[in-house]
Amino acid sequence: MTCQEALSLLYDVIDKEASQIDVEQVENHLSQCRHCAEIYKVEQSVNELVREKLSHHETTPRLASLQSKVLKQLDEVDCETPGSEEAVSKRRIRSSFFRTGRLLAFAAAIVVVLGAAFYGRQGVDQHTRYIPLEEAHTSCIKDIAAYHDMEKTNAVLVSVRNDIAYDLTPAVHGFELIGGHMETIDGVEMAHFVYANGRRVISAFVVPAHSFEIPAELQETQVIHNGVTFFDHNCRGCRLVYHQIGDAVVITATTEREVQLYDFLPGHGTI
Amino acid sequence: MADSKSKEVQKRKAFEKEALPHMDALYRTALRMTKNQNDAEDLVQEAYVKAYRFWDKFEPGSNCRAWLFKIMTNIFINDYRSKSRTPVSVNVDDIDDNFLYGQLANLGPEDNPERRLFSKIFDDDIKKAIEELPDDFRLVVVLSFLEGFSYQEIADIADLQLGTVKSRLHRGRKLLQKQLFDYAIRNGYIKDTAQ
Repeated sequence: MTCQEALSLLYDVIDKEASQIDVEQVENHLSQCRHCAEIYKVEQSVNELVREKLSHHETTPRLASLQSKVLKQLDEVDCETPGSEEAVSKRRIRSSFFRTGRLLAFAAAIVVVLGAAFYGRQGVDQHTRYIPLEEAHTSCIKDIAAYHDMEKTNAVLVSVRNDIAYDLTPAVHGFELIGGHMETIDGVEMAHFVYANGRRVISAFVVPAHSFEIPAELQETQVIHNGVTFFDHNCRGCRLVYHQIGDAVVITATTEREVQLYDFLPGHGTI
Repeated sequence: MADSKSKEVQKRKAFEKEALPHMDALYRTALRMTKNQNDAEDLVQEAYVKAYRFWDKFEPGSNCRAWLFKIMTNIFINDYRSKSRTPVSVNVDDIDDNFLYGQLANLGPEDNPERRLFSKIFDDDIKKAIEELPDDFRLVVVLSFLEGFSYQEIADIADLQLGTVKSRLHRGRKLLQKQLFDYAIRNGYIKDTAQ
């Protein structure tokens, strides 16, 4: 065996992928060639050291919480029944103004808060509170044409402006506002605006802060970006990012991985 | 009805028993690949949900760990890999095949110069050097070095030809050695003999 042949088998031998015959021939060569033997020795020990250092298990304090998140998602898959999506969209009631639903929303918010405290103590899945938003977003992608009515959208814009000091921007980072509806999501009435950039879609849910509270368990996800505080959650592949501006809570949602929601501010507070 | 219910329960039990114990391995690879905890957690969760949905496609008795890695790798390649591919800042082919050997030989007569070099390099430095590898190289390096998969298993997991796995691993190694050596010089662990 020549030096070239021996060195071409270097990593196969080190990774224990070489055949028995090759290994024997290489060993034979190395016993006669100091140069190749040196190279093998250096490569072998570098290989061992890198593997050894990499295998030092970093402590994964988040593994326990990750495990419970995974189990919750498996629960959700278990609960899925064919046709449940239809039931969800029927449950969503549409109306044109915040005001009409305000009392109801307020009552619902109390129920949500009390319910969360109660369930939190019981250890019941808190993840369920995100599913209605995730479903509202994913179902709007499927039926995006339903949002195109600009007259309706303008009415929603006006109602938002009347109710809370919040103004929406028609185009954000290449995404254009293509429409909006009022929707009751998990018992809370919200304005649901849809932005699109080609196939990519972002939902922006706008709701008065007095009728919606950013879930307390998201505290640890707090990120401050360009002076705005964001909280986020990943629900079944849909990222939900919460922030509050003035008396408006805004939740943006997308399933597009490349879209940075921290940079996506659909609107601003008005005076 | 009761029958399908108990079938569901059995499926869940089998999945928890077979698939869940691999979570720490999936997570540490996800962390090296996505380079941040949030994305790594998302990636692992998505992989498990997908694996659970396709659990009936898993052949009992086959390698569950490799199957889970295949699912996770697929999601990573499709959804997580940055669209603007990391350009390789160093031309790998410019690095000598036995770069480290040559450099270490220059350090003068010493029994185990590589040990001296590596004893000073921290675990974190290695992790950082791995994270700096371009995605394609990093994937095979992580699957081999961190997870100990064979060439053939990596080929199956990443859907690559065996030859591609070998060449990427070879090039990934060269880049890694170069980075670690440069790092050692920058930090004064060893003297730059070229100067």
